[in-house]
Amino acid sequence: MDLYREEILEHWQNPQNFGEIKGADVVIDQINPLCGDRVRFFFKFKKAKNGKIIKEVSFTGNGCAISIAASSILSEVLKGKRVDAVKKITGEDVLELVGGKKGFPPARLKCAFLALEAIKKVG
Amino acid sequence: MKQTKNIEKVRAQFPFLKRRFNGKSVAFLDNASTTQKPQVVIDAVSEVYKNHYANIHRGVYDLSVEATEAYEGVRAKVAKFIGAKEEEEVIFTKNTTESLNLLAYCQGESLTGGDEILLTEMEHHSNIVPWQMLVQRPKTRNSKLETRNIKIRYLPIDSDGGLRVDLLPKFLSKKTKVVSITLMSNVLGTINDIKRIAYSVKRIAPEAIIIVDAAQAVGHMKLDVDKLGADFVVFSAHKMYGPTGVGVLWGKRELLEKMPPFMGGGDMILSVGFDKTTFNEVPWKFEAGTPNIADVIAFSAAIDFMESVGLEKIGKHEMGLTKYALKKLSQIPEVKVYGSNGENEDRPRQRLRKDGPLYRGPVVAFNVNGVHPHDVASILNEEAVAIRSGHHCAQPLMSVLGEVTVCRASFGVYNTKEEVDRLVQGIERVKKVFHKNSKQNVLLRKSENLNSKEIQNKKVQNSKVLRFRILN
Repeated sequence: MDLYREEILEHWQNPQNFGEIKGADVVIDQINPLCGDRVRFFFKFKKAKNGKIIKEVSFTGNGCAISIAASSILSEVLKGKRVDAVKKITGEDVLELVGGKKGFPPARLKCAFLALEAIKKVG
Repeated sequence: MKQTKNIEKVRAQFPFLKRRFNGKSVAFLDNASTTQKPQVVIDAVSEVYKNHYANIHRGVYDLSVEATEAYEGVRAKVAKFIGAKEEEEVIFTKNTTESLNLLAYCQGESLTGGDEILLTEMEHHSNIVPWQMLVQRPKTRNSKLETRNIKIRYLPIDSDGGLRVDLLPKFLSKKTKVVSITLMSNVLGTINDIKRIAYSVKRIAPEAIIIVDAAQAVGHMKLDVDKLGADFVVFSAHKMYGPTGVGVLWGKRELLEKMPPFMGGGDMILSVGFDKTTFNEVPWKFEAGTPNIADVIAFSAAIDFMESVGLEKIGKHEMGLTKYALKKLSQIPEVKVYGSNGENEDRPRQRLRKDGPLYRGPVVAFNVNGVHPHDVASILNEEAVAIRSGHHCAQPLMSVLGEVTVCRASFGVYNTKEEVDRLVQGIERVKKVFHKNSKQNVLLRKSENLNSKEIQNKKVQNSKVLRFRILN
């Protein structure tokens, strides 16, 4: 597979929802101990009939193209979704989002999953 | 011409070079992490298991006697290889990390309140964490647990990656009881002048013991522990073409005898009763349980291999590659090299004393502007060039360098100029992939920008996200 497809590089260069949310309801830090990279996710919720909804989500941090792109893509996915639905996102979903699990280099899985490990703590 | 022939002879001894990745042999530039094994070492391991294997120091039968003689023979060989006075001063451990933990545990136990430990900013985690654990471990006194009140200080580095030995008078005092320093940085390649440091330590902190972490140095230069001025020297076999699972702790006999044992068990005793045990003598006092017999014996083949090539020749060959790499990398404007750039060969700092060590060893740390080291390493991997990316188990040093992670290329006896060229070509490809559009936003994602301002949302065109169904 081509790890650095156009979409990944675009998200890396223009990460979506990159920055801080002032007055966020939840702030989550996650570190990749292998490389010391870190990501910080910000969430703002809004109440709805069937539970809490993610009104705003953003992230900051430093990382490789894969982890930045995964954070960026996931932040887009999460916006407007129910908080309890975050638990349903799997590693396979993330790999599909960043280009497919077939041939994805095992050594880079931690990079792809950094954001997922962070957002899993939200619920 | 002769040089080419020699290197081909060396390369022919390493089976890993016959493997193909994407049709290419791997340019293995991660020798600071571990080295590949020559056929003689691989054969030596299997020869032990085939014909000479039994537990040591126990059986009266021939096989056990053979294994014991071979094992103890390696102790003598290592002692000679590192210039130790007595073979009993050589203790086998699992690796450098275990050797350092042993020292922090056993020697560290004698430290008391107000004592200080001096490390440096360039230490590997294995020479930091065991000391921090010592400081945190409560001490029992009068059946009460007390904190130890020991302070760790870190000698700084300069912008060239050299140790600030000029600051030693400020960092040493009579309170300093342990000075533990790497002989060669695993990130910057800086070689520290231990003799010079030992001189200051003996003068200002006469009670301090000096520990030298030689893990990085041992594969590249001749060690002479007796002349180094150290009390303890530690290293691993696997970084010098030997098997994994074999570490060495050399120490002065009188210090080893004073130290309590590390682990208890078989082989480290003279006699055991229900109430009391009499410990074995040095070095066996520190080798509890069945050791890594086969790999220790095979370590002998690695020493033979290094000596057959010649330590000086190995060092010269690797430094030739290092200088070549530094020159090539300095020609790429997007590449930043950390530590000495290799251009100061003739500067007085190059050799701190006339007979002092070289300024650096065959390790080159670098970054490609705006591209994360993992991404650099992934692209290089596609070209079968193996480098390391990450914090290199030296996060405190990373913070001094102002980085979270860096790339590292490190050379060994089998590397060639062509492999350095492949590294450089790989970096050119990295630039093509990552720098093709623009460099905007690249600096935004540095760690100091955790508190960045407003959220940006530039349009990403090819995004598949909107078509993605989960959560709906």
